[in-house]
Amino acid sequence: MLSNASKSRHDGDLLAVVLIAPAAAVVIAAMLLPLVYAFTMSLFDFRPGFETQGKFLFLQNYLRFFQDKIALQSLLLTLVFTFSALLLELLLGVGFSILLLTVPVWVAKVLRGVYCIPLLISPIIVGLIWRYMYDPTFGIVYFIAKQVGCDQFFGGLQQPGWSMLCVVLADVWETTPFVMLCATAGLAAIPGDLYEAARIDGAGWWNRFLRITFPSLRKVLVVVLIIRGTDAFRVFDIIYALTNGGPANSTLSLSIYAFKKGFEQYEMGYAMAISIIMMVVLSLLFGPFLRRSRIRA
Amino acid sequence: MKHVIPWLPLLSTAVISLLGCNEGLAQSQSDAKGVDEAGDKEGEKVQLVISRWAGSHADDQAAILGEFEKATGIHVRMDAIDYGQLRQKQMLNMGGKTGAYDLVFAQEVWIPEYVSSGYLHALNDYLSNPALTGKDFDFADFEQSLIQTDTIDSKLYGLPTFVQTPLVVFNKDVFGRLGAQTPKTWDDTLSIASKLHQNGTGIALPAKEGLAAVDVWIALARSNNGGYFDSAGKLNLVTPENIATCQFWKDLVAVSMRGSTNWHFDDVNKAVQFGQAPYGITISGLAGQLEDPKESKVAGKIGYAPLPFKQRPFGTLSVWSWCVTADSKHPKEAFRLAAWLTSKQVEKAMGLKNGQVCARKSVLADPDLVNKAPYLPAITESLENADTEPRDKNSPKLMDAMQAALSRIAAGGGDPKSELESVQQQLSNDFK
Repeated sequence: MLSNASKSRHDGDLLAVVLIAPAAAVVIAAMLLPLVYAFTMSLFDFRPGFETQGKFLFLQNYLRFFQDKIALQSLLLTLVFTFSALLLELLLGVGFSILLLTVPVWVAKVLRGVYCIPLLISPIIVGLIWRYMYDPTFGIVYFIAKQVGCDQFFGGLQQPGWSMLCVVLADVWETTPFVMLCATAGLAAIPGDLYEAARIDGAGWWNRFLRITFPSLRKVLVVVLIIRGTDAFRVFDIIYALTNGGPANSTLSLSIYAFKKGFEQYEMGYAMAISIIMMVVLSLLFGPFLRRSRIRA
Repeated sequence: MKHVIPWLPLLSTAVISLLGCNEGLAQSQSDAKGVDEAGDKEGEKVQLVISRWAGSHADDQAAILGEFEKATGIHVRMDAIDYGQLRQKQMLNMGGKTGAYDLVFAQEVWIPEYVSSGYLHALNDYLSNPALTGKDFDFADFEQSLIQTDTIDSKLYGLPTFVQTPLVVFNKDVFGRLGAQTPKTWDDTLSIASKLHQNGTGIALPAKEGLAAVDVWIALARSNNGGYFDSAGKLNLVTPENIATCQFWKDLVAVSMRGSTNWHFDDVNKAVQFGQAPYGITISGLAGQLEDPKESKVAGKIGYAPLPFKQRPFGTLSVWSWCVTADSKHPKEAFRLAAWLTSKQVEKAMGLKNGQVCARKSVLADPDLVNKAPYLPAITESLENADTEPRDKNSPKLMDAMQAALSRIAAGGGDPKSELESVQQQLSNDFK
């Protein structure tokens, strides 16, 4: 026979379950079920519309990934894109947000608004805009390159080495404002007294940045790193519009490769396996940051 | 009882959700079938649903459909969606036997799979019925190579209507100043492109990593007696003819306009249209834009020719056809619409409206159309010796591998022979 105290605890547990149930149902329906479906289907070889006629391959699609030179190359390119875009975005975003603190408030407000315009544009449109900007016949980039005498040297989207740089720059143009906004919010939360005290103690700009600004921004930067890092690793639309993965597969991201496999070559099982592998790599890359941010919070 | 009560909201939520799902499913099924059921109930009115890609061509076609509705009393609803999703949506509907579509607009490379999956209705029985075709139908007027494209095991599965083929375009004024004639062979092409390149332009090529480059390459290879397969039907890419074609492609890219390695047909067309490129390779479906005085700086100044050849003229063609679905509740009416859409009058009207290139010989030679669309003779000439890309189930893999190989040759300095060997090796298991 249950005591009154344990009965009431039991009822409380049930109530908690009932209250959590709707949220849990949403998580299961919207996140876990598609994931389970994707994993299950990644064990089959099937074409779109022929899900029921798929051939069971078990883990063969996963093994194939590690023997597929183009897949491994696109994994490497995706990592190159992610790290270079992320590094530039963090440097520029934090740099701009600090610089804006040194100008009059109204100027900072206007400039912040102007800098944020790219955020309002869809990535596919950003891709199309930059595609024309990079065009040697019509584009402004080549026009400027010609003015400074390096148009013959600049390979733009036409040469494999240059194309990745061009794609990264277009992405940086679009997403740096997001980093800048987050960093600005982080900077606003730092008490002015700290800077005042440091100045009195004779600390210079660099010391104030290293010992006050950077440590105070660390939590914000971890969040930005997770959000932008996962976004950059899954990059699709901007590359699709700019180069479609070319020239010579030199900008082929994993998302584009999965799309091509699934919807152009109709190997849906393999495409799903690539997507699952992407998720695993993302977890390995950014999971530690997520854990770290949670503990600190 | 107390233990049961807290679970009640959860249970009721689950039950409601399940009911909701069922209701949603029933609703979507009735949406798919509703058209036909409504027609059946009234006994007279038939509504057909057609599936095609969206765009200005679809808008023009939608405008013209009113005439069919007026003449027949059959109502037509067009489901025009983005090209990228079209095949998937058609397959999902026909595979699920939803009966949602009566007529589908299908590319030639899709048709074998549609037929082998049992999605399409053979049209042979309807062809000889004037009540369905209309009296001026004239089946022999269709370009026979295109009819063959839609024929599998002696059965016709589609009426061809929208033809695309790569086309050479050049500015006649610039060529006149250069003393150049209409280019016909590889040597002509390379020689003129080199001269233009020395003057700061060159030939505008669709050399971006994509299907356009492969479409042009295979036509060039076939003109050099090359191709993807040997006489036994086995994949055979590493041949002297194919290597020579790759080398020609590489040489041509070297004298192309800057930007060509990231250009598709539409980029080439724009460069010609705005007067930047005096010479280029575009696609027939875009040629109309060059002759529109409102949109083109070079209207009336452009000359047209089939793709250059080495040993014999050869082109690549792609054709869209109207196909009646196997799960259509109104196959006869659907065929009647297909026959009307591909009739001489409608094809001519569509040609005058948007420069569409149809599959009817008489329409392609029509003086009214030729006046409006001076590229038609070049297209007709190109179609005389043309073939489609292969329609094997592994063709998408071949196309993808060739796109990357040609891009490496064009932009990455790849060696033609090594690149062909690499593709051959990569696909050897898929084409045994």
